[in-house]
Amino acid sequence: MISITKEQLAYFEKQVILNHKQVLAYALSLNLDRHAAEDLIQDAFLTAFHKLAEIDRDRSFGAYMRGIVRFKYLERGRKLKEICLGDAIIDIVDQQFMEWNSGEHHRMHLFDILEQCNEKLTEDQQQIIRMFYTEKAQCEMIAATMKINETTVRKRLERIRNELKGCIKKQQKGAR
Amino acid sequence: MNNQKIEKKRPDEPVAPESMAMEGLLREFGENGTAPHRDLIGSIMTEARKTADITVTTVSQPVSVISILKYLLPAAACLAIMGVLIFKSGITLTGKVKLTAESPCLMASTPGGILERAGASLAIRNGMKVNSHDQIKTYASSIAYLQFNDLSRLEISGNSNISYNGTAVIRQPDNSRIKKIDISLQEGAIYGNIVKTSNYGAFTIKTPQGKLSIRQGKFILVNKPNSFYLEVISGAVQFKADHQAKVVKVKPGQVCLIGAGQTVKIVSLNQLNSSMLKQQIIASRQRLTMNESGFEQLLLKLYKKKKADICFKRNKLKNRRIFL
Repeated sequence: MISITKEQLAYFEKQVILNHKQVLAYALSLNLDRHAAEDLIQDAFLTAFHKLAEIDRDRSFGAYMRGIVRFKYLERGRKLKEICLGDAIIDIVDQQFMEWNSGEHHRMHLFDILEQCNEKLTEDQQQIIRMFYTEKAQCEMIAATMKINETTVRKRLERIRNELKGCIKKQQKGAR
Repeated sequence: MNNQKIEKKRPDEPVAPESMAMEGLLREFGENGTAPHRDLIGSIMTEARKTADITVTTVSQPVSVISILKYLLPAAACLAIMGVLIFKSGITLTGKVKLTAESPCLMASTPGGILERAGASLAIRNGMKVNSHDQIKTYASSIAYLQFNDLSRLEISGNSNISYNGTAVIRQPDNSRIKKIDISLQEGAIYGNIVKTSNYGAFTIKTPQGKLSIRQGKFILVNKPNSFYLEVISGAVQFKADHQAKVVKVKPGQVCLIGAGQTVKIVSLNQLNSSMLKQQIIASRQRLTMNESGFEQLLLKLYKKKKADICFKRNKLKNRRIFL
């Protein structure tokens, strides 16, 4: 049992609300399935909660959480004897999240920006995104629905990801 | 279709490393859009509350201003006296060094790194003691500080891999014995600020290219793929390349490079022709060499959080015992 003040609890709750989506997105980026990612970030937030007194509030809470998630991810891999992503790849993912969080006020709006960018995509592109990420259809099924090749779906997905990445960067640059 | 089955297949879809962050973002966006994940927030907060004893400050009965002042004034006076004492003493690194350089401890900025000890991986915590044969791996964009009891310190840049091999006793020609601190830098960059201690020999740092030893001074050592150099800021560093018998001495303002054909070159920083290398050296210096006042601030911060006391156990700084 740890002893904390009401103010510390309020601070923690605020940080959970602000950061949970991005921390979850980070865990999902590490090739985890949703259940594992949610368990992992819940565990990570609890670790942060137990170290609440030690947290430096001047620093980014999101970056602190990513550090914990990364450690827990590697620990989980060792425990379950699963092959984890290498340090170099995790560093690339980390770097991208760090760029997205370079301005504090952008963190909470990142998903809003993504929504705006998604609306700028063509109808076909939006359909691929919706089928793949929301309806969780496989590339084979998307290819059959859209009457295109399966490889084309994969190529388009990669292109859409790059387009969205560029759009987010542009929007954040414009907002600064 | 069963969601779980699809989710398990999903990670097998090939994604380029540069797109993995975007993939994670889209997976969360696809599932929940821009809305907050209420269930997740709820379960995190419920679990957190279960493990916490929440202290609530409440005023049970009306308290007069005079009675508040009665308690507040002595407290304020005590705080003011403590403030003056702290301001006067501070935490300075110029104190008399009493201890040897043994028992280093570790501090790190976020996102930190990993300390590997006897096959187990531990997340770096501030004030963590480092044992012989421990390996420190830092994450990108973090800096770790390996602080020795004699106030010598190593700043370890992000993406570095360094091992602390402990101390070795060396017998001198006059039969006296001195100790050496042995460190290996497998990959990455370090800044060393080494303090001369009477009963210690030199710090030796092994790299895949060779071994350097330093008794007192400041230096930057970079060992990255396609880039190896040693810049000496003060003091003198001896470097012996693995394939050469000769030991070279690198002086302040000089840079030791390993060029094509594994030849060891010593050049003055001002004479460096390659502007790219010069820029790289300057960037490393800006990133790593924290000035003394900055480092003092960091220590003060950690001291207040009671996390760095292990690093300075029994050290007398500015003629008073600061850390218990």
